[in-house]
Amino acid sequence: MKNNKEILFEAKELCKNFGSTAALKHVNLTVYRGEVRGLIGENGSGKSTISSIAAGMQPATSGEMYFKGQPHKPATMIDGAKAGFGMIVQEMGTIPGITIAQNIFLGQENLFKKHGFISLKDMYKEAKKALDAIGFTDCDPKMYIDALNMQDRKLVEIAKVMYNKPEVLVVDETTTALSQKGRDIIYKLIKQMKEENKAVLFISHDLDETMKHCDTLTVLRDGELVTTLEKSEFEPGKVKSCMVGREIGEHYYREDKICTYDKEVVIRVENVTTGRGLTENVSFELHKGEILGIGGLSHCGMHELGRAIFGEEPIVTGKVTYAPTGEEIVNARIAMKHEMGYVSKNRDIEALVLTASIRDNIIGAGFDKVSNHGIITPKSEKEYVGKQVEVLRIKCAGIDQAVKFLSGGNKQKVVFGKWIGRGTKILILDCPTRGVDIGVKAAMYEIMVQMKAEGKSILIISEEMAELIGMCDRLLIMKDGVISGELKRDDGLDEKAVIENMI
Amino acid sequence: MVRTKKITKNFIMMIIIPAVVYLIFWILCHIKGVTNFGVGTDLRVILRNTVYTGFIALAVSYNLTSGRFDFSIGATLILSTILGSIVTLQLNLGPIALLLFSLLFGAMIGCLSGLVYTLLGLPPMVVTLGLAMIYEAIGFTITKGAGVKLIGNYKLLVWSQEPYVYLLCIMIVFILYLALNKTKFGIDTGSLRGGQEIAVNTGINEKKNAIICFSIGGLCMAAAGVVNLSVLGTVTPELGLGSASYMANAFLPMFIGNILAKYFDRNTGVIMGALTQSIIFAGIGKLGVPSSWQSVITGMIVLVFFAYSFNSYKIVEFKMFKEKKAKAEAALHKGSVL
Amino acid sequence: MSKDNIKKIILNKEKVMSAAPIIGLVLVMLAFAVLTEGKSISKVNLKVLTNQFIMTALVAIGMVYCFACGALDMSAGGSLCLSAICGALAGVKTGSLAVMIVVVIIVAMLIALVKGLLAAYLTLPVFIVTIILGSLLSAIGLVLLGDETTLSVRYIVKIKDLTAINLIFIIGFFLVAMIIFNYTKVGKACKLQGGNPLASGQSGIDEKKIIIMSFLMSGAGIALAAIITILKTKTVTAASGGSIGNDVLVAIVLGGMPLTGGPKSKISAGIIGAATITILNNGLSLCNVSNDMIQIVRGIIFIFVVFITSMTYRTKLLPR
Repeated sequence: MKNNKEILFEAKELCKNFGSTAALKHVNLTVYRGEVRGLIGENGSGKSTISSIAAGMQPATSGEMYFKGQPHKPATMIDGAKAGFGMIVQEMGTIPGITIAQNIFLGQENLFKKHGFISLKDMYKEAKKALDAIGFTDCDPKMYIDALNMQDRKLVEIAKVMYNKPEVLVVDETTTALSQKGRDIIYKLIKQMKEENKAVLFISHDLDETMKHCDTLTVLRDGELVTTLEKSEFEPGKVKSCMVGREIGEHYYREDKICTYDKEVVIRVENVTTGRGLTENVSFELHKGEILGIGGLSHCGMHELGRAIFGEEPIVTGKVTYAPTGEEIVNARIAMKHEMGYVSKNRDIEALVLTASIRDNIIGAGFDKVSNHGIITPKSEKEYVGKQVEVLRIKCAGIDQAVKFLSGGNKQKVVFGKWIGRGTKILILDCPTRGVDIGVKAAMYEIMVQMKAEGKSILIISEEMAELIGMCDRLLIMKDGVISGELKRDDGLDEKAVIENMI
Repeated sequence: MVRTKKITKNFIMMIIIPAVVYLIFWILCHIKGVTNFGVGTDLRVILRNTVYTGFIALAVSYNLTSGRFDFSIGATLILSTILGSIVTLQLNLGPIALLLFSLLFGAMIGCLSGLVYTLLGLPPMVVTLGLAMIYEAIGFTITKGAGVKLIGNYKLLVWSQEPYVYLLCIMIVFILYLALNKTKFGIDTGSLRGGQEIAVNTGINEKKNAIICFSIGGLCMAAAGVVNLSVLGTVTPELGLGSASYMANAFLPMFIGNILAKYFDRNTGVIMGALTQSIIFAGIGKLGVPSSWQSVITGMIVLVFFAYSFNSYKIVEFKMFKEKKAKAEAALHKGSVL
Repeated sequence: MSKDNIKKIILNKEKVMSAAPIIGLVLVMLAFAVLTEGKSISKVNLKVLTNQFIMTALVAIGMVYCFACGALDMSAGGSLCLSAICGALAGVKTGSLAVMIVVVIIVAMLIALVKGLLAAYLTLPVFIVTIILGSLLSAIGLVLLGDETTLSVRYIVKIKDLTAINLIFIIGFFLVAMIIFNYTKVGKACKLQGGNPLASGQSGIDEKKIIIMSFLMSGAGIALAAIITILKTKTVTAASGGSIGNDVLVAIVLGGMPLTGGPKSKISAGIIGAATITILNNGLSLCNVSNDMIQIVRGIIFIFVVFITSMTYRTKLLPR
């Protein structure tokens, strides 16, 4: 069946490195005309990376691409679009404050130039055509886009992409954010592209949806292409095992396989719903001496939950309390009063002041620990900070070096030092080993085990399944803002079981 | 039919604010027994101030709405008018030449400001602060501190008189209307303002757009300067960044302009805002408030507007939180019922 | 070039840049000593210099706190003016010097508190709002003065020699400000917040409290400067305080303070910068350079210094 089909896009030995992390490792991908190819994989598997490279959003580190037989190396998204790649992304790609028509023709307004002026009338006419072409017929292009909700704005983006008649349409995790109307429009477009002998790259977490609409399915794992399955081979169990089947080093994470924690509850989360984001009616308890994990796909609500437990995210229902005293945690200061700490997922933006030194950053969370009647002497600072640098083995040119010059792993060590230095007893970690090399990862896991042994508590939120399975006593899975499952270490944490609850 | 209805609605929205404010002050003055508010000479002064403040507010609007704070507009006004006057006097020309040369110099100075900003890549408030110092000083030096005196030269000082001042206003607003709504420049300005990164990624040239915005600003300030020159008969250079105070009167018209933009055109909206402000000033004066209090009152009005526009997102967020809360409580209830 | 070499070059560049303001000050002093053939360092001139310097320095030192945490306060002139007027009115009414001084301090601190509350709770952009606020405060001062546009306090200020007071104020304030800025939680938190308010918030620093504290510190500096103005000129007008806000802005930049604040802020920027700008202004006028030329020079130097000190890497987007 495939032998008669023409190759539309080809990637050979494509590699992409972000610092020391390899996002794509020698990926070979071939897409044929008339094919609807699904790309599926966990977080960090490389599926978005490869399509963004093909569309021109970022360059590959090495490897080649061919489009319609010709070498394909787009420098920008505009290049990619000109070559025939249309990409619909997950983030918002429309601009508020201007009309729908202006959004559709962003950057291409000169198409409507008449006697030196831009004919808005012509633009509206063409915009209506573009909207009708995708089936979004009840939309008036003269309106300001602010009148539309987020899902409908995404439809405007789709109209924009389709107007340029792409030969390869990339749909990157868009369907999850759309209403049913929007999803139907996309499915129709996919069918249309197929009929016009063009190709579609469909990236989604929803296995059922992907299997329903795609001809072939490529599974990626840790930046490598595992396999490509034909429609006849579509079987959910097989796909899931391809997604996760990997070896986890036994001595990397925790040695023991039993779930242990004290009966004493330290943090109680009751019916918490965050004002922003997805988190809804979440309840659980964190015990003394426990490593509790929260896992899920990247937009399941767990990141906002982490901030909310530390008091730094507005809560609209329920509350977070420090169980021994019943005091409600409403801001970082109260949290810290109860020896809590928080390591954010966005290290550079939320956890560190990049232009400040290692010393300043670590002291920043520990003023009360270094001051003597309000005065903080350089000597006490050096002692306090020096201890953390030593214990954590932070590689630096001195404690006065600005944090922005450190590697990702060492930056993370500074963040840890902030909290460990002040003897934090309840540590909330969000993606703590992201962008960090193996050596530092192992060191962090050691610290976590040590803290557990000392009767301290850890809440680890992570998108890395292996890490959660390797380290947690209990694991809560979140999906679409609510807790969808709870697993215990005793039961033998199994990747398959985890994935069942996530997707 | 629907179209004419829409046009009528837009027209009403555009004039309703100044109309209502005028009515309020008219009533208040009548109660107090003052009868010469808003008519005859008073009205002429109001309209003239509208044009003057309107031009300044227009100049500010082309940069501030895109997040760029231009400190140098006052100095640009002074310098462009000084240069325009000098050239006109040297070449013994008439009022039209005075206007055109001043506008030309205004645009050139603005263009220079834009170039310095885009080339240096520093925050605009810093760049324009330094440029303001330089422009002020140049204006001072060229005229040896004396400024330009055209008192008595009635031939040249026509631009504050009717109907010339109105003609000037209409002409400039018309040109800006075309520029902001019907050219790629105008469309790009809106795109860059709403989504800087997205717009630049689609290939829109931000630097070119910024330079044009600055040039327009300079041109509008020159127009304001010419009107002012025609009223006072002189242009006095200042030092010590006194020129930064020109901006204080521009905020309120600009806010109103932004609100009215969606009904017709932002530029016309700004003029309506300037009209509203001039009515308020005249009204307060006629009601017997001493002039020293006037700046206090207007300062407070502007602060209130600022407070509103920078906190309105909190209202939106509050509504969003309420919705989320209701959704969560409903889901919980459903769960417990089950 | 290897990563280590690049790091070394950057670290050295930073060391050079931190010494630059002092080098600049010394150069300026020497340059004018030569250009004015010694007049600039004459005893008479040094007295003039010191008086101007102390005013600017007091405000600048306090202002370092605001700039450090990212609040660019442009209303120093207006605050000074209003505080001075209130104090003078109270002093004239009661005939007491002590009352006058107390009122100046109270009013200055109250204004600072209001500014802090507006910035912290209403999340208003400090720069633009304080420009408006500055003229608003002066306008209120003008209203309070009423019909008399100048107010004389000659009768209550009987002190002839102000040198002792000047020295106590400046040395005392500098020491206190420096200790708090460099060795206490408030100063350190201020710098951290200027660098990244989100991260400092997650480290437990109370953003609103720090903003208010920094305004109070600058209020203290303004209060002291207002007291000195009244004692020296023995009159207050609606123009008291004048353009000190702008002088302070230029001074702080010349002193090596990054305009965006943050961890690299230094309290020395207040003193060194004030000294540099005072010597610069004074020297240029001694050289018979007209006021306008002085301003051109200041403008160019200002842009130049900001350009050099802001190690901004060119981004694709224009800054706002």
